[in-house]
Amino acid sequence: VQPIAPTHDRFQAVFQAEFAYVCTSLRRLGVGERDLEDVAHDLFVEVWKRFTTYDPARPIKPWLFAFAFRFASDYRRLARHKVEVFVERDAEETAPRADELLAKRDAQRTLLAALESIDVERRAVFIMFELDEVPMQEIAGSLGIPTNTAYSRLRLAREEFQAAAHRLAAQRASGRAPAAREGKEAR
Amino acid sequence: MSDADLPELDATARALLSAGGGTIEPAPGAQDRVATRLAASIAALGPGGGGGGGGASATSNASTGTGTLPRVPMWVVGAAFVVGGAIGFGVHGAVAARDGSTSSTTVVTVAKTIEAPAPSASAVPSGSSEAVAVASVPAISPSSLPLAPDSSSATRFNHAADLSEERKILDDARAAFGRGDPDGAVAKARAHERRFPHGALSEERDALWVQALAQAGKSDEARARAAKFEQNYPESMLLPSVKAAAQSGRKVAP
Repeated sequence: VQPIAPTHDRFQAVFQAEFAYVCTSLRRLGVGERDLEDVAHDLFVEVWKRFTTYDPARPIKPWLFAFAFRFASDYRRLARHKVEVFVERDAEETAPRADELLAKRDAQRTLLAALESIDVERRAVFIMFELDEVPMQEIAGSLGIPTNTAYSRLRLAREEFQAAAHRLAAQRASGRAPAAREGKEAR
Repeated sequence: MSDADLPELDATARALLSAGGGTIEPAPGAQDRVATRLAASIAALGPGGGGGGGGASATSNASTGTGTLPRVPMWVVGAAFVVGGAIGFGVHGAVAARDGSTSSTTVVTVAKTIEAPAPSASAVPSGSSEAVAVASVPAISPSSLPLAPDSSSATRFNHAADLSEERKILDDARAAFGRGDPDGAVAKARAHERRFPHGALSEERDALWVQALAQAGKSDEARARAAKFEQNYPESMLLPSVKAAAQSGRKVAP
């Protein structure tokens, strides 16, 4: 067994490398852009407190995602956050952007809209499996759930996501933006 | 069940995942702003935390790149270290006092030092790193701090060995829980408690214990343990899921 090395450098390296990943995960789990920095700060403070419990032999992203899931779950329980992610879109779009960037952000917003239709527990599994490409055993371990439960959640999440994808595509085809869901309570 | 047993997403859903996937870039400067606040928060935690040596180590690297935890002024470091050390000493004193090995006078004195009035960190605008750091120092509750680790190499080695053993036992418990063997998970949790009654992973063990009891259908026992968990870890981020598991009698992610 190796003695524990000073952890600050490793923590700092994790912060630098994974900040964007953590923010992306928080957004996908329903944290609003205006609250993102506050939640990310609180999350990394907690990561720091628990850093000695991290096993470097394991991948860091699933471990961090578990923090994101818990913080996002707490965040969503607060009534003041019960506004969908799309309330911020107008402010975002006031600045001129290159077509490519605008298209990318539009696609990301649409993806967030589809994700928002999935219950957050199922969504966590879905994001890790479909977007982060984490193996199911690792997902189950990170979230502390049996593997079969993780598969069940993924199956349901896929159905919900697919339905949302078709609904959003239909809305787009008929000229309605995803912002039509604006103001609906987050789950 | 395996990946192959799941129904595939259709082309529309796949296209949406593909187009909208990838990193969602945070706002410009967000990483730097969070890094500044984070450095202050970690410095304010004092010795302990991530085990990196406490307040001083939290500022040991100069700010040279985007998102790097910045260096804060030495007087802030000193203040953080003194208060952090006082907190650590106070925690040590409180523990020792329970063991009857020191007087409670020390604890009272330190507690007064910690509770000196100061603006809360949340009241300070995030744009000022110095102001945040200063305000954060006395705002930390001693009850939220982990025990300060001994920095000697021998102790670090023992700590690493213990942590590894703790993790192994809890991995076994999680594996049992994961394969639907709650009794096995409880047995492992009990073994961990016997070996490490005040271990670094006690909180995780107790959370898993409640969930295993709930999974086993032992609702009364799960509720009793959940109540004890809430008493021992009132600020735990695992508390909501522990309570949910105990109340619903179903499995909830720890």
